[in-house]
Amino acid sequence: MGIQTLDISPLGRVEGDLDVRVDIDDGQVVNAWTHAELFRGFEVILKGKDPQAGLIVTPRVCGICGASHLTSAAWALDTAWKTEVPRNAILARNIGQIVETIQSIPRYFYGLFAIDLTNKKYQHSHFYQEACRRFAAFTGKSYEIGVTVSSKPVEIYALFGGQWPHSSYMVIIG
Amino acid sequence: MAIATGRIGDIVLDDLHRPQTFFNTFTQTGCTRNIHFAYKASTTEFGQRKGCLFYDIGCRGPMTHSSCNRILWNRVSSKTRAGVPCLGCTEPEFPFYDLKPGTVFKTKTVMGVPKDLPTGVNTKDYAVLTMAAKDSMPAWAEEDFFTV
Repeated sequence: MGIQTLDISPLGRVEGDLDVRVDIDDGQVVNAWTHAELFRGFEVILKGKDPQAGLIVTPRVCGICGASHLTSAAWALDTAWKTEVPRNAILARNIGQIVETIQSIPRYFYGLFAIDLTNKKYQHSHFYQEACRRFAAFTGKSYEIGVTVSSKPVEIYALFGGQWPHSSYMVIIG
Repeated sequence: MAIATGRIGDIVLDDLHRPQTFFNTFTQTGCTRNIHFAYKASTTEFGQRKGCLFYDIGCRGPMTHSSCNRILWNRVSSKTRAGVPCLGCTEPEFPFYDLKPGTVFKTKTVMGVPKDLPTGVNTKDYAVLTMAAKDSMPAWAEEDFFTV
């Protein structure tokens, strides 16, 4: 039997649209590709706008990873205008991105991914009972803790940026 | 939360079908810079602790309905507390001036008077208020009196 190709489109439980193509040879995954093919058109929206509009519009691409988009927008302007960014500004930008990443880990795991493990399709698994006890939405014993702690890291972001998400605290030259 | 506790009936909606409790006050309500707003002391750079962001860098706090400075973001802060102007993103007209060149992070003025005035204030009254406020501005209003 040759290589079988499996197309999954869209892949569930991720933010945004993601397609995955997997090559399977005799039950083993031998190759895999991911494509993020959703075009949002923010580049088109920003045409003809004030250069600093990027700092307002771009972070609003996403409610969970706005800091990444804001960082890119700020660095794009710094690159275009050849500004020198002070070290403290770089640190502040990086802290923002780091805490946002830390936030997204428990939020993704408990809020999106682990809930699926309680699906009836897994009921013959040895771990099903334990998975339901821990991860069931709203009632699981880890669920509430996981979702609650996921809001803690971004409090650090708010100290710098005033609010998370959708802050515009990273500006030109810092 | 209101749905979960069976109290959805207690939520009053406004004209735009938003919960009134969050949108009947302004972003400025509870802003730590109100004291500087009163004396027309301005912030000229992002992140400055003294001064009000309304006069130069385009803050829309006095005419934006939100609870940002009453119910703090992430229990911690708000844009204006961090020294970033309010952009008015809870208003239906957002983004203002369609983000045209020269309108971002900048207060639009007509002969030195902000084009967009605090909700409900007319231009003549505002001019009178400005003169009185600037005349009576105490020296500390231009000082950075927050300790680091």
